[in-house]
Amino acid sequence: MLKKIVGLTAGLAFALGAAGAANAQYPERAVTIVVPFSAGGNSDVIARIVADHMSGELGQPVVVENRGGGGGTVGASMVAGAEPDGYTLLLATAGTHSVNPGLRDVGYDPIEDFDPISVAVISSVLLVVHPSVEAETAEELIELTSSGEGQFNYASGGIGTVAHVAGELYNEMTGSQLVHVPYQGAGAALNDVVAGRIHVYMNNIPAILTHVRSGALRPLALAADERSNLLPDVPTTGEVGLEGFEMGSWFGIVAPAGTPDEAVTRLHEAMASMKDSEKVKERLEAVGSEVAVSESPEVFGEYMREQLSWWADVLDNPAFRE
Amino acid sequence: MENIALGLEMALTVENLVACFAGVFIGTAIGVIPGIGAMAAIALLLPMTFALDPTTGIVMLAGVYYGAEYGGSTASILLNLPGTPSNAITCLDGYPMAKAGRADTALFMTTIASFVGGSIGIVVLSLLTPAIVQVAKAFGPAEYFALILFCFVAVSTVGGADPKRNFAMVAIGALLGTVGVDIYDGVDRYTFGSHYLIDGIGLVPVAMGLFGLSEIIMSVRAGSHRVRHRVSFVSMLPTGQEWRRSALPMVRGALAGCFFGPLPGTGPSVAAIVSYANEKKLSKRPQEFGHGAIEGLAAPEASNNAAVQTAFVPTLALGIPGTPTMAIMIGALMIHGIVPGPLFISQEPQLFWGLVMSFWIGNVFLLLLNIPLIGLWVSFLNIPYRLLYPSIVILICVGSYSINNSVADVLVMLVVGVAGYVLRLHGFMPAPLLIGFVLSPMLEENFRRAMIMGRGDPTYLLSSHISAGALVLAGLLILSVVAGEPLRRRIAAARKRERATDNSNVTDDTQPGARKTP
Repeated sequence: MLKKIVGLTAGLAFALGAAGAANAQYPERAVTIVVPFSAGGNSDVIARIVADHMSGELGQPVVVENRGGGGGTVGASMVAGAEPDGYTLLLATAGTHSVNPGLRDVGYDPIEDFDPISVAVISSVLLVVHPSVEAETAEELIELTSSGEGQFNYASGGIGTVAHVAGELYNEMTGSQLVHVPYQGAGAALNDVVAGRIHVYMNNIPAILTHVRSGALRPLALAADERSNLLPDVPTTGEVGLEGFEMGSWFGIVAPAGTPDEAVTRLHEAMASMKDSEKVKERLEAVGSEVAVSESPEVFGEYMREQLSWWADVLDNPAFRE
Repeated sequence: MENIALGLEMALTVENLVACFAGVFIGTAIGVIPGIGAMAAIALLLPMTFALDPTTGIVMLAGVYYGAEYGGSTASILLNLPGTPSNAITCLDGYPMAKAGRADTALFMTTIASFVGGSIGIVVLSLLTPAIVQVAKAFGPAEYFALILFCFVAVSTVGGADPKRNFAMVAIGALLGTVGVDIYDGVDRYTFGSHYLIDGIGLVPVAMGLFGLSEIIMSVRAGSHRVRHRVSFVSMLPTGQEWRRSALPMVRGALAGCFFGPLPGTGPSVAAIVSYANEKKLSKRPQEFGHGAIEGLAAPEASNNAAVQTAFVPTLALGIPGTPTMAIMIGALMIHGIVPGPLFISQEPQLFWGLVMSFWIGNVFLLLLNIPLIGLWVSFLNIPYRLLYPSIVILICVGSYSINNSVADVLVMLVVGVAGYVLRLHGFMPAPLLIGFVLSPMLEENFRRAMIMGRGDPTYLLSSHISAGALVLAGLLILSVVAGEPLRRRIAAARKRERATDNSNVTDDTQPGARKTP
């Protein structure tokens, strides 16, 4: 009974508050984007570029707050439980919203607990080899790895990461036996990749672009349906006979479920103009990314659901379970 | 030469000088507060640098980074409060010096050692960058495994007098280090279903609880015996003998630092641990270590500051961050559209050399900044304990919390602190636990990776000169400890017997060494 009264009063207060707020234009104060990873990582860099653009559009500061831990689950859980007033947002990633929920109990529902705003960046997986590997093209690599006895290694930043899943998919599709060598994060893997102890590496473009440009690694194929402007000479996986081998990571902005429509619309508008901004384009390209804005929050929601079920299917493979 | 001129031109502009000074100043100030280390400071300042020119921004962030390494030793020496594992090594002899009323000398020597270490690190960095890149690349899992195993054996002498107790503490540290998701199988280890424990137990809460909190509980229990601290420039100067004792350890420490700094994952902490153990082995007075031996302070301090400088090599020249802090530095550059990596030095020579030259300038700033501050820091010790101790406890809590804004980290710190106190009461020293905690996860990770790469063949570990060499050295070291100790005892016992026959008043039975000989 008491609960009901409290609930009712709270509801009433909220309604009154919302009515009061409707008079003022959202946003009235600084908006926070929670990045569920530590500062300086790829997610953080993307979040800061997006935040910088949104500050200009919204006329209020957009602040990035890093809440690392639990592979992104700590920060994501925090936003899932935050006040849905449009002032606390989350930089959602493939990790927090597509992959982790399929691997473990993360403490939040990636779909039900969040209102989508828009995707910001979609990075496709690039297949590279160390120059010591005798394969100039993806076809040659497939022939080499599928006939061998499994003398080749591939690296990943851990179980269930994009690089790991890509490697297992490659093994399955080509009948190869690349051996998985996990690392504590993609940065740690790079040293052995560049030194040639790891022969094949499949990860998002930003993680490896600089090494491809310097010639330290040889790019063979891009796991996307079309070629990237960043590497126009690299064929897609479909072109080299790996149809359906399309995957990557996404980074987008979501709000806690129940955020007022007005705020969602306003935030989506602020993000949509990123695709016309030369500055955003330049800054993202420098880190090996391209802008990808959703047409509407609903389209982003649909994309998130698709990605979640795609990953759930892929991860239903014993290689990713204990 | 050309590069140095280019770098100086860049580093000596007014805005870069100001940025450098601001960086080292903030770094020192923040480094002094335990727990709020370089990483938190850089993460906080990062957004501020967006408005600056990339070089100026990075010069400032780098200043914060090595400035914090200087400042970090202050709290370790004065209050036994280490913010990082390398600072925990500073505690071992720095804090006993402070307790003996020589805090000013300890801080002075630390500043000098940091300067010497930093300078040697910069020289190595400017002359040997391409070679360092090659060395870093040559280190694969087998090499890391062998090197860390060697370190493990080498540091076995650090800790209390009882080897069995030290060994037990290393084992506890190793077990604590296994908590979290196993990266090879994705299996949760000892997480008890908690999201907090998925990433493992944090290093800073463990270090601060183990050293800082347990020390405070010990002091409260010990009562209010205290030394009055007075500082003058003369009193802080080390004696001629102390200079002589510290000179070589500083150089050796710096060289070890230069070596470990660029190796991803090891960096300043392993450098400090190894140089401390090394000096203890080489010293003619190993029994003074842990009771205020000045070389036990000078060597690790020179070492971690050298490592901090050379750690920039893989970060900038390979784009591979050795530590989380370096990952933020990379992020800071990327936000400015500059991507560190193999092309960085050739594409951005003015940035690279400007940065290196700013390190020199920054180190001079730090020297000038820190020596006058010694008096101020030491005077904090004269604050009555009833005010000082609660403030320290608050500092420790804030420091633990601020790493990840996590209350769980504070709880871990409290639990570890109380456990550390109980263990110390029974003669178990904290340093071996921390060493086990830092080194054993690296050892396991690299061993298993080497086994995957070698397809389960143990001889893979011997496949390179580096790893084979390190393993042989580790073996010899074990042999010298295992075989050397009984041998020494036997010789000592034989001498005692000789003397006993000379002087019938002394009997064999009173000598513990003699009793063990068959």
